[in-house]
Amino acid sequence: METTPSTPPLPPIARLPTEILDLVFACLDLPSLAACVRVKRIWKDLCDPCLWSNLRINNAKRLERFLTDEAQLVLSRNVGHIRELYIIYTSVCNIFATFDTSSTTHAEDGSDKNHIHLNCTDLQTLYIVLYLEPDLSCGGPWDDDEEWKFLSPGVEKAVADFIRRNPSLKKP
Amino acid sequence: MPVTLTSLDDVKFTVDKDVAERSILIKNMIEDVGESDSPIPLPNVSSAVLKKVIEYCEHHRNDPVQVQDETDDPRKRSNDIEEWDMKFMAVDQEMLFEIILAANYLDIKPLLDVGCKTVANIIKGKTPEEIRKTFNIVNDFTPEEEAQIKKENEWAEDR
Repeated sequence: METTPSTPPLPPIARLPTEILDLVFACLDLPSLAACVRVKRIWKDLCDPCLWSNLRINNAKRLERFLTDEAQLVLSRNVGHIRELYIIYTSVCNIFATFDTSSTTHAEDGSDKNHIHLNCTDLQTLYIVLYLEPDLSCGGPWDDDEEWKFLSPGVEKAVADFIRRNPSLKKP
Repeated sequence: MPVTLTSLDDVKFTVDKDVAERSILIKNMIEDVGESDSPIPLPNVSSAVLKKVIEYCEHHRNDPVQVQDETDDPRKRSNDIEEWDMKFMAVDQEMLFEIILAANYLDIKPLLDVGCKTVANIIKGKTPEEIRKTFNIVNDFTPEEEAQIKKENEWAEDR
């Protein structure tokens, strides 16, 4: 008797429809999402919007990696998913000094003294939060604060270049 | 007044109305049909899963109705599963996904939330290969493609 090659049964997770997987991915942090996009094609399609929606560039290593040509190329492809971009970096405020910082808005915790939101007019959903005086002791959205002391000198210039390359970040 | 629910495999469960109405689907059905003795058929849910779902609804029968804040970032809340729920969700994958599907079908938002968070917590901290192994997922990327995606998303990694 002929036997047909048996296809392996679908794993239980395959039963979840994409809208439920979306809910799962929405609970994940950036490193986990970066792992998920490599799992399977459909996972990448579902995770990309999550991965790019809230960009929290909240430590020195991440900022350096974010500013590489490779990452910037992907950024340009995914810019449509971006809802929030946080670059948390003490010296960045110098680069942004020419920006109009009058649009200071209140942060989630109600304090506005160390956040400045720069709203971008041509990409309404994209804004930058600058933590001018990050209180690293309070364990806010930034992490491994120790690393800030070891930033390479090129980072500041790279951030400036990044802003230049992304006109949507600039005040018109 | 108690309500009778009938599972896919024709098992009847009699529960209090306030327990059954944790499910918005059932709540709406009761409102549409009015008070009635006839059992409510749930042809998408097996008795094993329905039993679990009822257990959840009984434990949470007095919870206030959840008001979802649209601006609330779910990423911040993924670790806030309460202890009872965590124990309740400590089931095999088969049952975990069945509970999630049932919560979705029955429209029990808090149960759907806690189910999704449980899956998210299983994923957290794992490498792509570990995730595939955990969920028995077949990799459909070529090694070159996966290397490229890794490179592109390295900024988001922790290591």
